[in-house]
Amino acid sequence: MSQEEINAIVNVIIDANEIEKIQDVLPNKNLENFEVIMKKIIDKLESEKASMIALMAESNTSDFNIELMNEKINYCRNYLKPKDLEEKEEIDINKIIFAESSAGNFRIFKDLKDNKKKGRFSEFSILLKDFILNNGQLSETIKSRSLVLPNGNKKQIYKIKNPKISMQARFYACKLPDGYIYIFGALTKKDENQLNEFLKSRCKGKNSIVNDYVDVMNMILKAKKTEDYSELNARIEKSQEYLNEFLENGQIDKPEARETKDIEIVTDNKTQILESDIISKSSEDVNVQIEDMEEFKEIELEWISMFKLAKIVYFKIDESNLPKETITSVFEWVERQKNDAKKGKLSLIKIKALESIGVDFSEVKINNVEKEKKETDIDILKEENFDTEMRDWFKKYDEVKRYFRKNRTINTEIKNCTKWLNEQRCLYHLNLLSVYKIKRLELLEINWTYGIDNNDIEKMRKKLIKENVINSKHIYNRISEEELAKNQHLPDGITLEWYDNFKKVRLYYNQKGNINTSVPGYIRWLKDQRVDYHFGLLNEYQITKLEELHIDWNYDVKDSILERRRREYINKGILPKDFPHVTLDSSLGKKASEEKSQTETKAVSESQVKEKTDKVTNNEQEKESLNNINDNWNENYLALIGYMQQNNTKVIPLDAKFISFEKKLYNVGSWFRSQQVAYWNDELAENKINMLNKLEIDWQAGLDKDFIISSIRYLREQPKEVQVKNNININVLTEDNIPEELNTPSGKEWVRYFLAYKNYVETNGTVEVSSWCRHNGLDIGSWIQEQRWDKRNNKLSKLQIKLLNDVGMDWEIKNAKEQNEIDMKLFDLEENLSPKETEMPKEVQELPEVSEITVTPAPEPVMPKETDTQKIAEETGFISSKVSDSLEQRVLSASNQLDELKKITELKKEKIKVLREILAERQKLEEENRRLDEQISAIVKELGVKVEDLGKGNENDERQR
Amino acid sequence: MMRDKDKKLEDYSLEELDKLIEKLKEEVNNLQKEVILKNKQLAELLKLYKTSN
Repeated sequence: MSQEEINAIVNVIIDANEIEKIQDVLPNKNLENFEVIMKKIIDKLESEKASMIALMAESNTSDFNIELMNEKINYCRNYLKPKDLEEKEEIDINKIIFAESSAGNFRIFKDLKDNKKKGRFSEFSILLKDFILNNGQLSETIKSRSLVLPNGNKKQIYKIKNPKISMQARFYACKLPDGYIYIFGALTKKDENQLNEFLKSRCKGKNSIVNDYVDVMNMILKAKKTEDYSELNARIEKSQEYLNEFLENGQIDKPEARETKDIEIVTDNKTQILESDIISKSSEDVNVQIEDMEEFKEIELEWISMFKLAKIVYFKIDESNLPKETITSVFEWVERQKNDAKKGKLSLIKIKALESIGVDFSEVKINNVEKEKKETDIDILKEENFDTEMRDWFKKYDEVKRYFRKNRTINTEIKNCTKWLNEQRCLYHLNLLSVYKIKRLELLEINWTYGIDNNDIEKMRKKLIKENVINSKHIYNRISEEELAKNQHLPDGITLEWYDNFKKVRLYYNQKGNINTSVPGYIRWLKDQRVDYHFGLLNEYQITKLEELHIDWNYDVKDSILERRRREYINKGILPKDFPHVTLDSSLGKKASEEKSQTETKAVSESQVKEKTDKVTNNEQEKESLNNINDNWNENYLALIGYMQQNNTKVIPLDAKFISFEKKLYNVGSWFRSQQVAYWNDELAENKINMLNKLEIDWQAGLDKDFIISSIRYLREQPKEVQVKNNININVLTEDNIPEELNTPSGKEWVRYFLAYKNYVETNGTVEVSSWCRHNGLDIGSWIQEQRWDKRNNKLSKLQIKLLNDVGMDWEIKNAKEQNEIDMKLFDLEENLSPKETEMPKEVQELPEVSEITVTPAPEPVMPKETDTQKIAEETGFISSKVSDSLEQRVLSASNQLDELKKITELKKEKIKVLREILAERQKLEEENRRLDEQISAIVKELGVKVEDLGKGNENDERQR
Repeated sequence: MMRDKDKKLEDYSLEELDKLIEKLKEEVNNLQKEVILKNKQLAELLKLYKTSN
């Protein structure tokens, strides 16, 4: 390209009066020397702009269109930028416009610098700002959709996915050609309308501009929904100018200008204020009527101007462009009018006029208490900006607040307010409550899930969808099961904590069928319950609940423990000082429950009179025996039969339920489980057992094997049977006597492990094996797990399965959690049982080289870690090699061990201290030694004397001495 | 048992610590003897130095 051609292009572009024309003459990017040309153009434009400004300053005119110049320059600069660079443009925080919406409240604002003044916007904007700042660019964290502009540039509509910004689940952001980014929250139809009204209210005679802006916003919203951006694209380009103008004139960060404008509006009668758009038709009619009346025209001008201002305040959707002081003064003025009205000083026409804009006079007339309430309302209004809808909200809020001040909670039934509060809670879950309202309610420590459930939320959602407030795709949150459970109405005296613990224990009971063993994590809590029971500190509900789990109140409780606790409780003030000594025999809980059971049996005998019609069994004999047992048991028993017949099964899962003819629900599963447990604990009456035996039920089904083996009944009845059964095959099997099937190298290996396992079961009395278990030098822990997998994969022979079955193998493959539980359970047991198997620290292991030890900074006193416990205990020879199978003993020895450990650590600390001193001493000596060496060698050099001779001489001297 | 470099003094058992202390004490004793010896050497050398000059 020749120099002439370049100059020609440059000139054409600079001369072009309209930006659109530049596009026509601009060469495309592929042109050679493109960059040179563009740079030249920009330089020329810049210099021309500078000379223009200079001329303007000199001649004091404004003939030159600097704006156009700027646009040209920017336009050319944009051409120079690679497109992808533009996409990653950094976000100018000051060029972000926020629009927040929630049901019925839509706000748009632009200023980020002055957050504090913007009330609830501030929270939102600060959050968003942080979000954007933290994430750098919108495009990186936000899933984006492109918006192709007419000039080929891609613009993004961002969907901000991160809902942590606020309760609003979604935000949309759009960057428009003016460089502003518009971010708006999930808009509902109602919000859209309000947005329009709001924007129109901003117009102040510039309807066309704002309407255009409104249109664009609507288009964005529409495009957002339909994903069709063509209409929007076309419009955006055109609207740019309008938008700029709107932002210059209509924005909210020019309070002074605004104030004067507002006053202008009020005083100028001709100005069409917002009525036509905002005021609903009926009220508009009233307005027209009143304001047209002759009497109205006679009212002093001052009052009318105040009235008009009040009208704006009362009807405006968004008063953020009114100074706060103005709003406050309006409400003060309205309040004065009300007082006047009360005293009869206000003319009827004025009252009517004020009533027409929504000032409630009936309240003032009726009682004084209401006045007080109004005043508190005003207090709030003074603090915050608010709109018409918010007033009603605040009325209720204030009522709730007063309740809160009195009772310190709002999460109960509050007269007149419960419904409203529940509505708020539902709205909260529907993401329709503004951050502002949320914060307000949270000040009153609202529990968002109290008193409502998912059904309520669903109802509310459906209602709102019907009312077109939200669409069916509106995102909302459901209440989690956990939270629901938390809000169950607990009986008096039951804390949530207690109930939580109880639930966990119940879960354990449902799984294992017995809580009178060590329940992992709840040993202490259960012990507390037992002790409290003996002190009579548990209430009836707690006792019944725990007795449902067949708690043994005396398990793990001793008189000595009770005495210790008694002193502790008296110290803590839980028990009175003169509380008598309690023993297991004189247990207060026992007395209470005995009394209770007495009354219960009375009740039963009374109810026995009632004849029960038996619809499931017709057996006369059974009926008779049924009558001897209490009604409740009978009902459940019949339900069990009903369930078994209905489902034609003898397997009763834990969650089995049966609905009787009387439409009564029976938890057959859990009842049956309780019967099973009672059976094994030898607590079930003989006639009941007989009755259940008739149903050919499996007493062992679903129960923990450990529990059965350790149960009273099992120990009394089973051993003979089981032993005999077990011995048939297993005892024949030895390492020398291997059946043919297993007489292979791998088979022999298997037998070796099997025998080790058998021996383990026999010595330990449990079939459970920890994952690290070693017995007779064999790693049976992992071997057992292998067997389980092999069986699942059909790799075990029938004989092998039979042999393992005879030992009582638990075939269930354990997941990590289950295995861990077993491991923890067996930890003490195995360590205690087979001390030979565990790796004892070798006596006097090779000591580290002394020189390797360096002085380390003195450590904080550290208690030995749990894993160290065993080791140290072994070192001290503390662990007895004898098996202590009762848990009581084990607990006792554990606590002793702990004391011992403390002593050992103390001792260790002292030793380490000594060691450090010696080490320091050694270091000193070494230094001294080195210093002497240096001196000696220096002198030796000077003298040329052989040191060895000297040394030898010296040594000899010493020896001689 | 070779000394693990990361092993802290706190990780040693009581017996190990006792052994360590004993060993260190012995070493300190030796060092003290050495220092005494060298001091003597130095004194003699200084004597020699003085006489030679």
